[in-house]
Amino acid sequence: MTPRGRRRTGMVRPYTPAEGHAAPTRRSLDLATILIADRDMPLHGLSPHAYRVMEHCLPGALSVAEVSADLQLPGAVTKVLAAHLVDSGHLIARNPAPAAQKHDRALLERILNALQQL
Amino acid sequence: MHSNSSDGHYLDAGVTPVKLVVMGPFAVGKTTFVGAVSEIKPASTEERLTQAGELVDDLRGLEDKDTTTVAHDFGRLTLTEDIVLYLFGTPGQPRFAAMIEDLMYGALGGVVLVDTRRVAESWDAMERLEEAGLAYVLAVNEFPNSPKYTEAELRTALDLDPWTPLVMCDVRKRESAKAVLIALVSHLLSRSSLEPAS
Amino acid sequence: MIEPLVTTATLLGGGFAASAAGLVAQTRAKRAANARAGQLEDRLRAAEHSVTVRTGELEERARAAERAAGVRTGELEERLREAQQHAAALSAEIEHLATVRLPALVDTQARGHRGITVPGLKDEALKGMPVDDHHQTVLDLCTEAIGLTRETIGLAARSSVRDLVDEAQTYLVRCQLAVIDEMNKVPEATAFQQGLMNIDHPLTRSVHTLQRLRILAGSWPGLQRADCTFAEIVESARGRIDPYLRVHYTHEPISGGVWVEGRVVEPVTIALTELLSNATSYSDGKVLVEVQQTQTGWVIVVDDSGLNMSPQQRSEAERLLSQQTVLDVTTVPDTLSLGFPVIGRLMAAYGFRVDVSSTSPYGGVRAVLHVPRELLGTGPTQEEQEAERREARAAMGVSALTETPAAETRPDSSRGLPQRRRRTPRTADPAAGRAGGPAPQEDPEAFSEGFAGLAAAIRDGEDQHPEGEPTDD
Repeated sequence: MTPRGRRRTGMVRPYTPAEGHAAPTRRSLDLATILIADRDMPLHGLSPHAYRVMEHCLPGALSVAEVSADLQLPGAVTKVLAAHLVDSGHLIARNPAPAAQKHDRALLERILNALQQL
Repeated sequence: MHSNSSDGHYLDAGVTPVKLVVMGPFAVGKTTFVGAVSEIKPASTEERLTQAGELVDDLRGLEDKDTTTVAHDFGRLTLTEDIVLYLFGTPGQPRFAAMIEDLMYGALGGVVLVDTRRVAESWDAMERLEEAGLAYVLAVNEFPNSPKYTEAELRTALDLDPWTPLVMCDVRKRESAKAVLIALVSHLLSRSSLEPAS
Repeated sequence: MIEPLVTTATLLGGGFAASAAGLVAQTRAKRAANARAGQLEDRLRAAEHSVTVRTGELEERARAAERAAGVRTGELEERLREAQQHAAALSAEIEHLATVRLPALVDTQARGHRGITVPGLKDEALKGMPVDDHHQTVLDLCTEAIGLTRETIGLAARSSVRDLVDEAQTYLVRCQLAVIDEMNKVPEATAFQQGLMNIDHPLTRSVHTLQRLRILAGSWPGLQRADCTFAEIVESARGRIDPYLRVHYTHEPISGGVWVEGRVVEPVTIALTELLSNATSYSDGKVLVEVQQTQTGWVIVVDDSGLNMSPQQRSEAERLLSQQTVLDVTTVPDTLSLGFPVIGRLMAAYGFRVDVSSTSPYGGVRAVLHVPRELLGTGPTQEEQEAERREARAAMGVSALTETPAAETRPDSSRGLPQRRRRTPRTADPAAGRAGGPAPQEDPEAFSEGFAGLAAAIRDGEDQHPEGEPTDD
């Protein structure tokens, strides 16, 4: 239990890091979208929350849903922040791509195999 | 799991996310299902009140109320180095319709959970998936005191398309829940063989 | 007395002429008489002289007496005049007390007017006299009476203010919780989400307004936070003012991660909010916030590019900041000037310091909030942070669906299954339709493969089905 830690959340209201916008600049961001940080991009000049997102994504790829949960930010705020960071080139977004891959037998077979082996 | 981070929860940069939705009425076992297959183990959350800071003294007593959490369940299953499965349990209530639409968007397919004591409550989820053109599998979560029906009885009552798999399961069991996913992916494979790959 | 002596001399001269025979004798007698007359004359003259002298003396004494009487009357008149003047001065002084000094005392003490001093004596000559002392006693008693009354009423009023504020704050905090819950329930990027954000901002500002009130009423901020970083404090304070988009604060690698002790997090955030509020209301441009290290701790520096304060405004600000007493809310002239008294209260109670005496390099005011090293916190430990993240993830995995389903959606299934009627007509399998085949052709291999695993899973589930119901959502 982390009573001390948890009481930090809610200090910063969602509209502050989102600069009052509920809609991200990129509509395509999904909760299952994978975010990949560009390690070469400079981090100075970022807002504190954009910095937190970058800092959290630098060690490895994570979905929007996970970043949202880890940083205890509502999905809307995470999407707004992530969209700005994708726009600025700090993040690369990979959407769940079933539309193109739904009929990709190879992918489905690999998924099936992996599930059976789990 | 396939993770290149000592932290254990980071993914490889080259990973492709695959999204599945788990639907069904309230208390049918969606959370349990997601939890059974997810590598991120859900635990109980006793309070969310502290989001606004702890209210000591003067505001005492508030802690007992409001224990709601996010409306969607969320689980992850890393399948291979480059494929990660995200499971989103959608809320059952009609007032979450907009969120359900949002969660279904971009999904590969769906799982509809059924409680045979109240099969009608799963109709809404089936309708939504059918309207969205998403393939799904119907999974009957067997409660000990659930009435037993034959597959034929259930298929008829649910007006199930013949190609839609109907499986029995115990959502608490990882293997059982996994089998539901296997049925779904098998079903998707069978469809893909018939659809043009455009 | 002179007349009989003259008559005697005349009679003596007539006797001499009548007896010539005895001339010798007479001559001798005459000589003797003459000598005696001379003696008498001398005596007479001496007597006359003596009388004259005495008369002058008497006259002189009479005149002196007259003079003395005149002087005494003047003195009495003078004393009378003085007494009349004194009485008039006392009367004027009493009137001065009643019409000038006491009203001024009521204005300053009871009405809280500032810039008024209670005047002293009207007549400085009365200083130190009993009337001065008595008047001072009256003024002191009035001051004491006003103070006691205010204290009694103030205690009661503050206590009821705090009760009401607590209640209102509780409701507002619940609204804030509901906002977050709703945000997590609806899809992102919708008008509803935008609406929630738009509601959340005035909601947050209302909480701040209530906090100002309770602090002025001598209470605590009503929220106990955990240790927070300077970055969180600045971002939180920014969100509590109206033009928050004009406040610029970027990530600072060192200071941003410094922890402030939980006990002072909310007080410091409230004080900073007041400074940001001032800075944005006195300038139209950007307000820049930076956190810097000093020898004794850390400072949050707020720079605006507006008009600098006048020396009067500056000294008034300093006065309000140094004010440590609990303020009577009713005596604060206007809400615009509540900021400094609020900060002053917090400074006195929590041990940080605010200074507004510098000029910003951008032309406006530079406000500096000093957080001494003693008020720094440790933050959560690595384990706590890890646990915090695990819990947050867990929270994502636990459904919020705590309501019971509506009764009508629970059909009585003991007598049979309800029949589903499709909302939309059944469509052919899109795959089959597109393929144009008459019936869905399934990949037998994949299908059997899938079902093989499925059958095993079902057996597994049936075999191990324990007592009790599966866990609900």
